[in-house]
Order: sequence, then C-alpha cells, then structure tokens
Amino acid sequence: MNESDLQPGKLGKHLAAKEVNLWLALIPYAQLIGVEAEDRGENLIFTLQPKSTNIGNPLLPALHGGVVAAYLETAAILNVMAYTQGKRIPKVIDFSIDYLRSARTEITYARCELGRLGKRVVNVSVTAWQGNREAEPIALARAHLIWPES
Amino acid sequence: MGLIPHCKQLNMQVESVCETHLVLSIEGDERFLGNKEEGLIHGGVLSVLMDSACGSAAVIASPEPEVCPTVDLRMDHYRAAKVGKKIYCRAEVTHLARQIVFTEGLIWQDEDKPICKGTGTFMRLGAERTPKGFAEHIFGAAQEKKA
Repeated sequence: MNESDLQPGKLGKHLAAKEVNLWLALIPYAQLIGVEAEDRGENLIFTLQPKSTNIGNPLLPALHGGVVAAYLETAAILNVMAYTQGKRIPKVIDFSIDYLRSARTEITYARCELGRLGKRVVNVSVTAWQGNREAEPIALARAHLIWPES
Repeated sequence: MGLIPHCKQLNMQVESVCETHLVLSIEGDERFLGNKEEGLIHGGVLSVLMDSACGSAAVIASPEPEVCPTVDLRMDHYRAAKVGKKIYCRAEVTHLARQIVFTEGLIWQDEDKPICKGTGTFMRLGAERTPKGFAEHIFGAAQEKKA
C-alpha cells in the first residue's frame, strides 16, 4: 500500500464487524472490559458494554478514565486492523486522550478516523459518546500506530 | 484501590507513598494481554495504571482531599510490557496550581528499561464540589484496614 491509498476516501474497503470481532480472542483485556465492533451502515463503530467492574468513581458513578482510554486505544487498533485485513496487531507509539464529560455506566460508542503521516505510521482520531449524543462527545483521543504492513 | 471497582478488578496495589510521589503496581496477568500471540500487555492496562497513579498523586497533593477528574492523559510507549512480570508505575505531581494539578508518571518492569512515560492533567473540584464523606470514603476505609 502506498501513501496515497490512505488519503480520505481512498482508504479502500474495511472488513465488517463480524470479522473484526474474531480478533478479540487475541486481545483478552478488550474482552475483559467489553469492547466490540459493530456495523453502522457502511461504517464501523465500536461499543463498550456497561460493566460495574469498569467503574472508577463509585460515587457518581462514572467509568474509570483509564478504561475509557483502553477502550479508545482498542478501537484505534481494531480500526487499523479492519483496513489491513488484520495481518498483525499494530503497535501503539503514543496515545493521548482528552476527557470532556464524565462517562456514565451505559453503552459507550466510538468512531475512528484514519489519517497518515508517513509510510510506516498511521494517525488515528477517536471520538467517544453515549446515547444519541454524538455531537457531545465524552472523550476525544488521538493515537499513532505502526502500520502493520511495513 | 479496593474502593475503585476497576482497580479492584485489576488487583492494583500501592507499593509506596511519600510526600512527593507514589508507586502502584499490577501483576502481568494473562487477562491483561493486548497481543496474546506475542505475550504483550495491552497499552490500555498501562493507561489505567497511569491514570490511577497520577490521579492518586493529584488527590494526595491537595491540602484537603478533593475529587480530581482527569482533564487529559498522554502515554508514550517506549517498549511493550510483557506478560508474567509485575508492572510498576511511579507518579509525581510536577505542579499544583489553584484549579489544576500537573502530573507525570513512569511505568517499568525492569528498573533500567522504562516501558511508558505518561503525563496527566487533573482538575481540582475544590472542597465545596467534593461530595461529603469523600475523605472518609477514601481514607476512612484505609484506617479501618489498619485498625
């Protein structure tokens, strides 16, 4: 794959959620917190199931910020794998997350957008929201991963 | 740590606490794998450990315990953590401002091989916005344990 393939709209096809979810067997921690891929029309989105064990603040209650980070990192990894047909689990170089609202113990959704910096590194932006409030994200994350084909 | 459900699930332990920093740890459990074939720990587990350590450092640094939600967290992964070996995170407050706490953390398994560097920023909600009984909730239980 050359660089131009990763420009917006030229990413090529990604695998469907059913196939993406098969790789979860290789990622035990993603299963522990309850991450799954889901098809939404043409797009791939991700879900985090509400589990009492994911809570970080029992007084509110709110999900642990670290769990939200782990979830969005997993979403970025699976999203890259969906485009590379899952050849290898990509390595994460760095990960950064901004918390905008506290996350309640309900289903959390996430959507990824791929960008590209060079031939070996992929840039992924992830947006997380709850309910139908996609316009009011609970967190925004950004990660750089090694493109597994290189 | 036993009062935070996810830290309890991870069996997170407090190794040491002093005025300037603290050290938390988790086991390199198979449940925490992010790459089962290569035996590598999920980066997200390290984020949980970093957020917990930096957040605890922020709470401890405040003159009176107050709720400190995370504003942002940044993780630089120098190398992967491996399964079967204890994982440590040392966190310290770099600056305590009126409304914000700045923190830094470092994760390792072997002392001379840093695994991840983290930077966390936390908001100070202040005593008036901290739920009543917060201090008792986090410290009271610890004292009960001691007694």
